[in-house]
Amino acid sequence: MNAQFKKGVLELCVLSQLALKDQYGYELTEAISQQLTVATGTLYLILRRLKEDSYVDTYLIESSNGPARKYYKLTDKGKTYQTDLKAEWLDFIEKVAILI
Amino acid sequence: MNRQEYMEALEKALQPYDDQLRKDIMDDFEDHFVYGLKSGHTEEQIIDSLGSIEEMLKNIDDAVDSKPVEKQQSLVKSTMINKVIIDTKSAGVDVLINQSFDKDVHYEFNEASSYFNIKQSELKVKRYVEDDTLFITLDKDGSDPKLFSLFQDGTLSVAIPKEISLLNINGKHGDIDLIDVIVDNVKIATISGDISLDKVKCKKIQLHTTNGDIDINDSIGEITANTVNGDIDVDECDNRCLIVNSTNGDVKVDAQVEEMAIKVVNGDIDVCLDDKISKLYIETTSGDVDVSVAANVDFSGNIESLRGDVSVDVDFSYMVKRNRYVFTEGKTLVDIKSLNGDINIEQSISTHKKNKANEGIKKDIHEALNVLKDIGNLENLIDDEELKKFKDLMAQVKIDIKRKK
Repeated sequence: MNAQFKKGVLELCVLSQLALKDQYGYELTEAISQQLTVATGTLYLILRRLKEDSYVDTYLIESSNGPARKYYKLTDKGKTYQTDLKAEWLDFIEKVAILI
Repeated sequence: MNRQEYMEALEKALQPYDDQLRKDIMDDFEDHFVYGLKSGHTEEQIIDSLGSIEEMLKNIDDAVDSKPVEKQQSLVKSTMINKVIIDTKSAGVDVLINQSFDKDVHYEFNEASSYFNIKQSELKVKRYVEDDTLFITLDKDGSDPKLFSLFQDGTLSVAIPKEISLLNINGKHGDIDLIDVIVDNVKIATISGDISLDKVKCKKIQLHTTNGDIDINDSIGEITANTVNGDIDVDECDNRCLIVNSTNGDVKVDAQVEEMAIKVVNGDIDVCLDDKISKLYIETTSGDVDVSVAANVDFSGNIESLRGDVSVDVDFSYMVKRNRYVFTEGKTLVDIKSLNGDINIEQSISTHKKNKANEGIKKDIHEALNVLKDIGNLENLIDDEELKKFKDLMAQVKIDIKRKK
């Protein structure tokens, strides 16, 4: 699959997963890699970029067994962005479905 | 490679990037190992799922440079430029041309905030000057054929100085707009983009698009416009010569033109002309033709439809031979023909006639008003049935007056 295209789709998947609930990195990458073949390292880069653009934010929660967990959550801006991207995507696949 | 080796290689690879980025990613990966191992995966499996570091480095620019809109702005400072040639190659880039406020060429490329944030920044504007010609092209750094070239990539805006001799634009998917431009010659070719000209002053304009529409407004010049599937609309223009070709699109012209030729296969033609017209040629296969000319225009030539209906409503004389209307006494040379379409020719009413008609309507209204005034008096004189008849009649008169208006 076209690399650029895949990246765009992954970004939507990451945002949408976070729209369901706040998640820590490993949890999120597991959820996505269960469905899609993806280098999970890339997902961390996407998360980092989304944070840079203030679509997501992070907070730490102490964990009894292991390091403090870094949770990712959507900002308000991120929620709007996710809604827009999702609508765009649904519209896109609908049109592609007509064509293929 | 084990966990330690992987993390060392990662740290080394991230060396050129700033501390914050390096720390963020190192922490994330470190955590990933911790939770992965706890879930029962081996170090090897985790490394495998994270992917190779080389692979990750390819994507790292996205994490660093996160600006969604990129601007590339430039200026060509030269009074020597006499021709401007723009080529968007295969990119879906819109081109917008307008007048430079000085003698230089200014241009900037605004990349679209792209679909799904897919960065399309491999597009670069390149320019070079050869003799008196400035070339502006959009080049891709990679040769990777893009799935998304069907989406709009951005807008290339170019401001050109007044009265250069040639503006030549080759587009593919993007729209091309010219606003407020004065150039000797304009040549535009594109495949699926629309072409739009507004307030353009030229000697010669040549436009070609396969699937796009052509829209010309308030512009001057000899125009040749070709499209296969698009519509062509010429409005409020002053053209010595207008040549229009379309296979499936409709053509609409409302302009001052001296010589006009329109050839369409399946589209309809709607033409409104003033008394400047001296030569008029229209040919269609299946489309209908509607022509309206100014009051003081008269024809010499033929109007004919082989299988369609022809209707002619004009003040000057003609002869009818089967489906052919023949004009012999006029100044404007006409040749209008259709195979299957209907042809409808009409002459707009002259101001003199309009005034006369208006006077007539005024008189009618005046009379009607007088009669209406009398109805009150009549009620005492005639019986109900007659009064009803009279009222109905007046209602009809009212409707007729409305229609005349």
